[in-house]
Amino acid sequence: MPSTSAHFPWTLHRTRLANGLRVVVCPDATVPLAAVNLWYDVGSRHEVEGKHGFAHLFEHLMFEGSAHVDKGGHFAAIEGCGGDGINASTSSDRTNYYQTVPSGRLDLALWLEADRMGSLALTQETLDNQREVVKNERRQRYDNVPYGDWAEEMMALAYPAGHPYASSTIGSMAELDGAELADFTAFHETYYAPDNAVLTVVGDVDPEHVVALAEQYFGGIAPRGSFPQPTPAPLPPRFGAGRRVRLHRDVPAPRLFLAHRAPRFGTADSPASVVLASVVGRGRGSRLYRELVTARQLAQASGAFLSAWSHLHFESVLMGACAPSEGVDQGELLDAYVEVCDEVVRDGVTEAELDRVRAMLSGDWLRELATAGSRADAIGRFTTRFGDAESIRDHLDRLLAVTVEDVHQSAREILHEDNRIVLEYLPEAAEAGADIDTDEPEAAA
Amino acid sequence: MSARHTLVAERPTGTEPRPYRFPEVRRVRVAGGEVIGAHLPGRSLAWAKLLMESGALHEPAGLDGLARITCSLLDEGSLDRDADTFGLAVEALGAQWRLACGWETQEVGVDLPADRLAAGLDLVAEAVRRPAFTEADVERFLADHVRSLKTSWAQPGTRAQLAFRRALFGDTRLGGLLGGTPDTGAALDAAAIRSFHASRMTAPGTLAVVGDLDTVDLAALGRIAFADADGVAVRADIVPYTGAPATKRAIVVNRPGAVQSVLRIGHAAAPRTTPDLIAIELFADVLGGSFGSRLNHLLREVKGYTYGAHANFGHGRRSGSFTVSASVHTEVTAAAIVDAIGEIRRMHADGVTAAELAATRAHSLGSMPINLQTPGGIGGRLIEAIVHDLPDDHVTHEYAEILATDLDTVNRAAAHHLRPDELAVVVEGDADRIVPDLHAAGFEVVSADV
Repeated sequence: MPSTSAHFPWTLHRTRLANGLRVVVCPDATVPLAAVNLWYDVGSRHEVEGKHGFAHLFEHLMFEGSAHVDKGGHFAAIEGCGGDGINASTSSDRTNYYQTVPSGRLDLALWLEADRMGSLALTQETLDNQREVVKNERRQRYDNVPYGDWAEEMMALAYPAGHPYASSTIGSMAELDGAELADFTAFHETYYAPDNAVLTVVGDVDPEHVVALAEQYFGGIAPRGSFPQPTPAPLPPRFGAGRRVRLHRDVPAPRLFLAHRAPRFGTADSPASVVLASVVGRGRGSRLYRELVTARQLAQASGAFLSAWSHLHFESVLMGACAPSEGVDQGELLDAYVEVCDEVVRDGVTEAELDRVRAMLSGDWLRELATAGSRADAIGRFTTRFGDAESIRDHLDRLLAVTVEDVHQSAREILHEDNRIVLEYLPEAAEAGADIDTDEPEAAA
Repeated sequence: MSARHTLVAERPTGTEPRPYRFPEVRRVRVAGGEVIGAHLPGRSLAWAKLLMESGALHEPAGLDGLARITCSLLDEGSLDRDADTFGLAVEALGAQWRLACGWETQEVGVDLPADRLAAGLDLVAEAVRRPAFTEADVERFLADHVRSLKTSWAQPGTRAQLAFRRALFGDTRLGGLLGGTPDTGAALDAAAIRSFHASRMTAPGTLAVVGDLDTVDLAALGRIAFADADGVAVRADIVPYTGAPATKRAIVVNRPGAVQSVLRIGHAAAPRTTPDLIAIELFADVLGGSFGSRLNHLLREVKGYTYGAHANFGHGRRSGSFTVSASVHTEVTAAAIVDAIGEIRRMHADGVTAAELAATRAHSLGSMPINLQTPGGIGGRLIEAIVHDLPDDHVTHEYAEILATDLDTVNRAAAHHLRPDELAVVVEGDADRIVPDLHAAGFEVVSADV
């Protein structure tokens, strides 16, 4: 059972400025801080063919200066005023910008964010510089690391070509090389507008003062009115056919990744899928850990054998991962992994297993809300997804209300053999010649 | 800028931050040990860790990684319940099991909903005081450990880090990796683990607690943690190393085909007892701590060589290190090293400017409450107080000292604590492609034996 009765005890003040900017204030006088967070409802899902990675590269360019702020000046101003916890990130669903400042510097943080929402000072030099930075980010995270590109490979298998989720947020070297200034001025003009954003402020602040400052700094930015959206055809709830793909790469040992199509975040059946992933594959007490690691010693220990990715806009995935123990054939491990899933599909789960997961999810929620910055980001997520900040209040309740029957139904749908793509990484030495081969090659999605 | 928009041109200045005060600290001596608590009224999360004198410096020769593996095995089965059951008990509290293994000390504890603190501490005590270390559990865990070391060995940077430590501390224990290597991992067994626990992890230790202390009985928690703890804590021997690296020598760890080179540049440094501690932190922040630091600005924002470049000082109880780190595109490796060394030389020679000091001072002061919002964040500073024998108000005192440290002090510290001619220059990358450029840049190149 949860250890606190009120899972979101703070007050939320919600305002919409005339230009459409949603402002959410969550006062919390226990910290002398103000966390300032902007969620823009734009991500790599909006990118067009040949321009993958542009939403993320654009995010970098937002730190390169605006009408009244020099290149690098946003970081310098925030750090120089005593702020920290500053960064931004881009996913397929959204782009967020955030910082935490001493509460007396709230006005500076809002001014900086407003200046780059309403203007950009792009030059060829800053684009060229940040293009190289992003290429190095790609090398560091994807290309120079064993298994570093697995998610990119898997997304291309789990979604049909051209689907908004079929490509990675980082983009390819060739696409990044082709990026031109006009791409980014157009991107800013199209998506960076007050009516496509949520501004959240958490901390020792007065809501009326925050709204007045928001009006002062953001109020002169014109709304855009509408935003081009990707409109992929809905996908069937399951892939429709199992699939197994092998990649021969420079990796120290084999590793398996398993994708299952799953509901997007916020649908009626998404809480059960989150609980299912945790029962089956999260933590020491999960089915997969106890069977694959402790009982049979087939897999390396892992806290995340299965997890819910919770995409916001289109069909999501439950993603599995496991690595065979020394001397264990990856095929044997795969069979054992699938056996565990099949057992859940056949027999369901127990109330005790749900209680374990409820306790873990309750702890997670306390931790996620424990800092002003992280709480602000969560509020931005719920406001963007559901259109109302108050939707955050019963998030945990929805997870805790999931029953064993709900999980069993979710397992039957998601862990079905027709809904599993297996991606195997094998050391290059394992097979000379072709670096990719596939079983059951019919299109999966 | 679109003419449709009206932006405010004038930059607001805001008001000065309030001075930071660390939470009230309470101490209790009980059952042969000491409990140190920090009071966070009304918090729904709590945190507790037992600190023990059992870090890697206590390991017998040749068994690198033994301390960490012993600590990691504590929650893999106790005399009261098996590994799976123990794991389930931790998760049923909504707790996260927290381990930290350092050179001198180790920490085991939990981060959990506040009303579960006593139950969580029962589990910590059970794990530390009554571990089972059964043959089957140890064998399973060691096999897994060796395999994971093999994986980490293949990650870029692991071998660079080993070569870097060796260059700084030679063949002493500090010259290895905390967790050991695949070779030393293969030498560990159940007997060594039981022996290490019996000799190093049976003293009471010190319990650090963060939470609403008005609802917590610190003495009762201490009695739980220290029950059956009859060992004696001793400090590890430390072997001095007098060798010094030379900046002109580049140590290359070959990683054929790598598209980036991992850089580690630095030298041994003063322990935390140095009176220049705050001054060092301030110039290090300017050199490579903040986003706008000189290294990140030059290597990332001007040159585009890297996704990020950093510098920091690590201050141990009896040793320290200065490290510049970055992953740079293979083709610019030598140029990036030359630039990084150039920034170290410039800092050594000229120090920071008044404007840089003002900005980094504000950043250091302001980020203190930002980084200390959670019980775990506060707990980290409590642990620091215990390890380094600092007063209860050391963080509040540090705040005042940051405010008071002037330009001359910072710049004298930069001149004294940076040694630009005695840098270990380690690069893990594709030797065929980077060595010619390193030669051309004037480096003597040696291959690292890792």
